[in-house]
Amino acid sequence: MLEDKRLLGQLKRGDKEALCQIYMEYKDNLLTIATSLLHDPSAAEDVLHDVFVSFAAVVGSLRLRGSLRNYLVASIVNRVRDVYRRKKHHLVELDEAGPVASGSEDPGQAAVVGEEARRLTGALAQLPSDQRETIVLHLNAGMKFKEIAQMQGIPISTVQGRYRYGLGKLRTILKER
Amino acid sequence: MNPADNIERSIARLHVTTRAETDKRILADSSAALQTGLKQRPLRAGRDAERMSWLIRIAAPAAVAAGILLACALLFNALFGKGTSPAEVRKAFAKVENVCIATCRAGATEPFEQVWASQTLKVKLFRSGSGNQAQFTLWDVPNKVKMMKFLTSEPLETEPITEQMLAELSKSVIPSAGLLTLFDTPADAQWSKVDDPQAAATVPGAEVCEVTFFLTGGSPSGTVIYRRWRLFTDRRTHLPKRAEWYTKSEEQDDYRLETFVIFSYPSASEIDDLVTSTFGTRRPEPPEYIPTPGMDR
Repeated sequence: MLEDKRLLGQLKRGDKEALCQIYMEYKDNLLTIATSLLHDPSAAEDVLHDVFVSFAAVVGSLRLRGSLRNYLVASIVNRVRDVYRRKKHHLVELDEAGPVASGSEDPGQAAVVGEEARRLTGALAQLPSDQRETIVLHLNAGMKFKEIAQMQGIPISTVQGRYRYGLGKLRTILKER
Repeated sequence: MNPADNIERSIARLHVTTRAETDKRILADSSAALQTGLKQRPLRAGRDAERMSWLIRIAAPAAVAAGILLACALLFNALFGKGTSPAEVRKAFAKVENVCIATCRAGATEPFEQVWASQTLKVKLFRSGSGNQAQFTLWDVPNKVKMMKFLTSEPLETEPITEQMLAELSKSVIPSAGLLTLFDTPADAQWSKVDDPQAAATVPGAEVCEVTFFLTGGSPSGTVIYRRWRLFTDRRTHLPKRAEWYTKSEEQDDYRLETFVIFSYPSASEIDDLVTSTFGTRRPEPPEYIPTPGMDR
């Protein structure tokens, strides 16, 4: 948090190195979230691009009320919603989905993890968007239910319900495969 | 392992990495956006200075327009004698209930900053940036709240307006004579009526006048900067319609247009519609609440 504040301060003075550090710190996690929500790696990269460009453009007047991480995550989620709204997103078929890379250094393990990731994001794509968003925000973004509730402007019990029902459906979907 | 065996752990382990070319593209575009964004916002020395300068910042476009307007008005008295008198200009502008002031850079097709001020609604709405990078800030006096929307899709931020700010805003929702001090033209500045048909054609039906002067102070190298302000006023209503700022660094050079301001006078309902379409409502949630737009599910 303090590191974020320091970097933000530098960024507001036009320090591109600070921009680079922030990007490198959050890019993979944000891309994972976008990919999990969209099940479309290419669209997810576009979302990541738009979020960072917008963030850089407004950082001079940005006054964060929470963490930088949550701000960026909220921006990703909002952009993803825009994508769905704009294009009435047609989910890509699993076979057409681009490769989902793995952080593993072992090529063999990478293939396994990649396949698992494809199956998971494919299953997530079959959930209602509110349940999918809740699960991804909690598990991939590391947000607490309280934080998700605050971000979405809904009661925490609703968030917990969406999470629980979403996991149940996911379990069923994955077992059927 | 079947992901269904431990779904939570499996999802938490998901990890997608960007490609090198994606990193390069995003960083290049972000760096460019950073520079552009910061250029549009003057750096502030610190928090105190930020607090003190809020009025100047939010009123900058209006200040430019109102300052030149009032400077014109004063000098018209001494130098003109015909055409729009300063009293008429001052009187006309004092009656303005609603105004929109758009500030543009030379050659630009759209303003980099716009302010809508409504004495009727007691609101000021500012827009900076353009396209997807537009940022809106609303000062809503009746609701005692300041609302910011950095992008159409990003979180809406609200914060209460302090009593001190409220008092200042209540006094000057519409740019007023207090802004005159922002514009200090030299005493020997020469105002003259412009008869150039090309200038007159810029705003049909407007009366055009200009003032020229030069500045030598404030520069360690002693560089002289020549300036020219040009004002277009409505012949019938005496309201300003456009103001232009020119500069040049050498006497023999031609003046170069730097920025210009366009005045329009929308109705209160038009401004209210704009506020509503931008922020959804002028009845915000409590200040600490940071809603996420688009929650239509």
